[in-house]
Amino acid sequence: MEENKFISFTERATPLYPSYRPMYKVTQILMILSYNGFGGKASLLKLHLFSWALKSTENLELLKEFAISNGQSKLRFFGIESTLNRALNLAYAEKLIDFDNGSYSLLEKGRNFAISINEDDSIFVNEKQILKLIGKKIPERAINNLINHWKNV
Amino acid sequence: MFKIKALKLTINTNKGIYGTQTIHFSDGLTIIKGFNSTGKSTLFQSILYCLGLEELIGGKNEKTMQSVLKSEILDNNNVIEAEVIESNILLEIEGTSTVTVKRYIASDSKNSGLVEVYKGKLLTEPSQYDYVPMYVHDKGAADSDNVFGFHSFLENLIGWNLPTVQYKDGAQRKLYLQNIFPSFVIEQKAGWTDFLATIPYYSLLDKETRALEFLLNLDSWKIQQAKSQIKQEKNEIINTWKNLFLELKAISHQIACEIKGIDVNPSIIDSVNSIFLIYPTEEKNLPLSEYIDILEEEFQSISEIELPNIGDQAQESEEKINILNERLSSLSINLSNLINKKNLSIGKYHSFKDRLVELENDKQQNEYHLKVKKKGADSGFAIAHDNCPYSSQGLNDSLLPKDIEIVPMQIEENLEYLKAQINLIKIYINNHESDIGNYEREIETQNNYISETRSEIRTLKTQLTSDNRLPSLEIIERRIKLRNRLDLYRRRFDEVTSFQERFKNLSDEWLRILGNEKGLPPAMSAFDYKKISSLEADFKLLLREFHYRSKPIDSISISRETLMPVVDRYSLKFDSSASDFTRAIWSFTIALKETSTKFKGNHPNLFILDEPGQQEAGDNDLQFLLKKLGNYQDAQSIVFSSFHQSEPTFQACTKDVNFTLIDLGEEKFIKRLQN
Repeated sequence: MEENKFISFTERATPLYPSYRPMYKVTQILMILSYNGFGGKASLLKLHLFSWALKSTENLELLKEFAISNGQSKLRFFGIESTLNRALNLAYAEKLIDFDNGSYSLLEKGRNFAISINEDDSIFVNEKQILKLIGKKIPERAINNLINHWKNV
Repeated sequence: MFKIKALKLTINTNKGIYGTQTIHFSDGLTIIKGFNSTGKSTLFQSILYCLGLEELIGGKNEKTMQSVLKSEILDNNNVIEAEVIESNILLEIEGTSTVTVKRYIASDSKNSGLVEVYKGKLLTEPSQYDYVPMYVHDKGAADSDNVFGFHSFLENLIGWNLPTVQYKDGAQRKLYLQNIFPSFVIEQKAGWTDFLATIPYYSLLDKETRALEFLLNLDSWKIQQAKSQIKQEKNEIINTWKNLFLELKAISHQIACEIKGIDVNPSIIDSVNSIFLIYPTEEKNLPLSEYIDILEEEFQSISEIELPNIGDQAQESEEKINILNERLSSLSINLSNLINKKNLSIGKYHSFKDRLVELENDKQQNEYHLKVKKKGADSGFAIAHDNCPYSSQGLNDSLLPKDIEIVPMQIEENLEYLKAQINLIKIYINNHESDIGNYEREIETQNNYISETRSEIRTLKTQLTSDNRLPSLEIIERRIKLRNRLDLYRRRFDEVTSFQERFKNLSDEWLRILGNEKGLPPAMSAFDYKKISSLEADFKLLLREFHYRSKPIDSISISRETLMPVVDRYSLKFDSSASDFTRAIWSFTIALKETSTKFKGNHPNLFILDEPGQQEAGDNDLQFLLKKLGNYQDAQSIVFSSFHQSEPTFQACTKDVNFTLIDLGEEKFIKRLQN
């Protein structure tokens, strides 16, 4: 006897970490540029480093130690994710940031948004506190040293 | 019956005494007419202040009063004329007797919470009357046990006996006067915004309904009362039962027994014997009494044996040691099993805890995301609307590459998902917590068995190495142990007996309460329904007479649940134009009095209305209201109005109306008094 056999699947929505959400990542980029970039500017690698740090409390603590010990404490590696690049593209298209000569910088619209995030005490409470504490203590040179270290290993 | 007879304001200033002459109110309708800012509101507020009801204007004590009574007096050009040193208000009121109330506003020596009650007609028949100091807004001011509580005094004067109601904190307190007065005293600002709008917040459920029930003297509040009484009694039993149960549980744990016949919640038990303890043994569960019998038998037989010498028992002792050693090793295996299980549980418990922290963190990030997304949307970002700023294609709210074909959850859904996860993890954590507790208890029991067994082995071994002619140590020790055990179980057994009785008493009480609950009538009595139908008829008739047009009158009713006017279960407020809503408040205010009069309710037959001609309700309709008030033989009304500062309006509104006029004129009414 011939039977028609079908299996049907219903596609279910999947939960997603907020750091894979466009608006969330873009907001982080704007915060990093405004708190940690010299003159609101930062290289791609620096953005990757901070974006990695913001992924977990442990990472953020490591980066904080690294910053306040003037690069003495151990920070051997950090992660690089393509999602950040996509978020940067979106932020660029949204005219929040500019890209020039190898570094990203805040545009007027992005700066205003960063200010409004800074003033809102109900969001990114812990993150803002630590980013401000780290401030501009991590120069591009320190990050380049880190990368060179990778190459030599 | 409650009447306001006369009022007088006195203000001592650095420029001499200011104030008013004695203002007399008639027993029928008194109209107080005056231009804006002549002092109408000051008079209205003064009446409430003297009655300790200033919360109806929105506050407590002197801060609710206008500056003319507490800081400075302005002239007609609003320039400061004099500084206030001390001010007070006298109010003569008539209830079951006539008294005069004096309350200070600004005073260095007299607290504004103080009210002096003169036992006589100080204003209409001045003389030297004795007075009693009383307090308002003090804790206990409305408490009937407190002889100095002014509101308790006022309650008696009006002839009321206010019911006790249940507040949200679960306490039973009297209904406050402030809760009743807004149904017949209507203030000009907040008062016309809703029915009974100015009842202060006292964490009382359905405060409007409680006030209406009292005015109409419904049985429903007594039923409600009985219900909350029963609820409270039930809660008491539930708590007592629970505590008693836990106490018994602690005792039964001490003697390794379990409770049968009851659990932690109250239940109906037929006889004291249906509650008992059982002692679980390996073969079966023994009721405590049987176990005690077994212990007794054992003790008896061991006592009867003549004490053998050690030498006679050597063989037997060695066999015993072997048996005991076997038991010891099996106990040890059990113990190590239990410890393993406990450690496993602890491990899981910690990993779930870690997961919980992660989830909470994730939840917070999602909440942040929700907020930034909203902010972004407010700032007009395309990405915040899930649009790609390049291609105006959908973004899917994900940064993952397009070739990963997943449909991410929407952020709200994602949050709900996380919350569900968190709840689940919390349940796991709780389960593991209780598991760990159970394992710990079992481990302790095993440890006890082990140390008992070891001590027995030690005794036997000591005996084997002792002089053969000595009496058997082991038997002696067993006797003592059994004796002690028997004593302990007997004592506990007696205690359990007393518990049985206490549980039985509680159960009887529980049964009685459940019976009472069954016996309660539904929310309202038949008489209540009659009253409410009458209120509804009066209310609708008045709406017609006042030319209410916003809704067909037939669609309006009085809610049987809240006692408030409704259209299709919704407040009349939402469906009425502003002027029609004012008419509705007039109608409801008057209908309450008429229904109360018909059924001998608690309405004090008093109306104090501040600017009833709100929202252009119309001169004709206002005239009809005033006429209605003026025609009452049995009710006093005091109406404050500017009549739009126009004489023709005043004439039109008071045509054919019986009233006494107090004309404040066009200038400030509070003046320097001639001495």
